Amino acid sequence: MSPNEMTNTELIDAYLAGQLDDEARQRVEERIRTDAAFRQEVDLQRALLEQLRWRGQQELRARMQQWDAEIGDAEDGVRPLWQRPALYLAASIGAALIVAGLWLTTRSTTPSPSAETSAAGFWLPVGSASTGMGFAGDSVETDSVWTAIVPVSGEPDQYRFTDTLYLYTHPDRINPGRVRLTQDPVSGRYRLTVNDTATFLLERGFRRLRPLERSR
Amino acid sequence: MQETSAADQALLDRIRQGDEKAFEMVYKMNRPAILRYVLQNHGTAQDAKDLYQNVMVAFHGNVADGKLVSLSGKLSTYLFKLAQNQWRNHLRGQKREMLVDYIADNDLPPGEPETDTLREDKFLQRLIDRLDERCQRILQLFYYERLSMQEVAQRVGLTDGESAKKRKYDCLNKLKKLADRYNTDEYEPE
Repeated sequence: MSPNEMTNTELIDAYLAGQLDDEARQRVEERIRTDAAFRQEVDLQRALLEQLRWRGQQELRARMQQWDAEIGDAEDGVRPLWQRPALYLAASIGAALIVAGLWLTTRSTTPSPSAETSAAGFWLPVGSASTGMGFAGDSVETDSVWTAIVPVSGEPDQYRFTDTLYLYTHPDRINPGRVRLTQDPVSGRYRLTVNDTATFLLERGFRRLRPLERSR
Repeated sequence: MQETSAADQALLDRIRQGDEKAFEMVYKMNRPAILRYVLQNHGTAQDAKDLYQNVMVAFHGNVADGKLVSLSGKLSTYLFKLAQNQWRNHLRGQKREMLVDYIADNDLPPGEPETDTLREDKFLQRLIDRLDERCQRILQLFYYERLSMQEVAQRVGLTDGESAKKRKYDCLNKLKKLADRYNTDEYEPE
């Protein structure tokens, strides 16, 4: 069909689609410049086509949203890592393993609050280990520490020394009446003498249990 | 040089012919990788979905308009590059929007009036809504899906491309008449 045989609608449609040859296109553009009614018709048709394309996009988006809903959020990539159920499970298992591992490695060294609170205690004087006070071989009392013996059956003997000194040992091994505690005023370290014979070096201020090690 | 997949090219050809199943397949296949890309680059889940839809709309438009006829690499690579470009533009745009928001908040009075363009868009939407469904479909298939008149005829159950073409112009004329009636106050839009 030649441009002369086209209706205005067909001609404008071909013009907007870029389907006219140079001569026909120039004639249309001349009409747009000189014929206000034709110009309005071109504008309207152009706007209608843009709206039709926009509606097409909206319909496509609606279909994609429907596919999204079918796929669901369970697909990889949709959820951030921290929102994925599989990762929750893995994290839970990992956390459980870590807790179990910590329990296994620390069960012998973690103080039991109930055992500590139920343990019998006594005030233990702390003497200064200085020998320059004129009492050779003796010590001056500088403080006192609440001391409790937490009965345990196995080895090794352990202690925890913060505000209170907890001694984890078999009750038969320690006679509270024959325990002495002294502190070196220079190093700040403590020395525990049990039954007048065995001496142990202690460090204060650590919440974890430590082994009672004999001093040489 | 990237490998061009014959299967990808076949999918592209089917999409150009208006095969929605092929488009759906491409959509679902490439979705996880592009969503992951956005999530790993400071985007939210909603950002990722929005961006992927924009990518697929652009891809569909490129195929329909004949801008993407053949692939020089994998289709997934093409889509991923589209996504990367759009996401970078989005991030750059966010910075600009922050500045624009700041200016708007400080310099403009509240309550932006409806623009002429928005009013015109609503008016045109109402006109299109008043067309019968078959007319809407024909115009959609031709102007958005960019199908040939023969393909449009097959989709809407017309005998041939010539009938579809005649019908298309009838529908366009109907729209223009509705607009004229509105402009001369003979027609009151609902």
